[in-house]
Amino acid sequence: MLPSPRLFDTSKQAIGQGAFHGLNIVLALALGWWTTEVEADACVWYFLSTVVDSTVGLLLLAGIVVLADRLVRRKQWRSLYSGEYGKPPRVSYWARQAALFVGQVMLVKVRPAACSQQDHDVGTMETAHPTPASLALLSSCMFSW
Amino acid sequence: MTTPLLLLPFLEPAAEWLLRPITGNPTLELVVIMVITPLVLDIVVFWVRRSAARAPSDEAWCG
Repeated sequence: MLPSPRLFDTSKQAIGQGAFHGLNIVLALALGWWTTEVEADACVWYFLSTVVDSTVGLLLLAGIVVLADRLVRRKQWRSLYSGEYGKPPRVSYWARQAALFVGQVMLVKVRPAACSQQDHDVGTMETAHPTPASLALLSSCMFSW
Repeated sequence: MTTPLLLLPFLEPAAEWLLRPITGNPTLELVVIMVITPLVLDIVVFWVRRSAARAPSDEAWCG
């Protein structure tokens, strides 16, 4: 029995959301640990992370998805056409699209590495440790892997 | 890209103020923060993402 496009669509969502959720937890723990001067609670960071990602993050993701879709269609990479898995549906197409989607989700979550040095300017951060951005990048790499 | 937004100085006090009514009750805090908030917000997120993930039209290969 071949997997249906609906199953592919749903599992793509689940994988993206799973990566997002895991990264949120890692970030909440990291930010809670870093902001020692204000004794921040990891619960507060998780709450903030969820709210920001569901509002600003969603808008960013929508923009990134639209831009990536335009690029994919311009280059005619048919295996990356969102929601189209071939006839009959191919697992390889689904895997590529899922990887792209996870990448887009991670891009929303992780700030560009070039800006990571600015973390040292944040008053509550301890500069002797790696930055939250590098932790986020590391964790996103782990999830992508 | 949303990560630096979390470091905006007013956000953490705002979140603490919002969560103040349930602070001190770890069980309720856990349910509100880890279950109810993500559930409500994820419904919206999934709804929007679903429209991005599926085939754009009925003319899709297997749509």
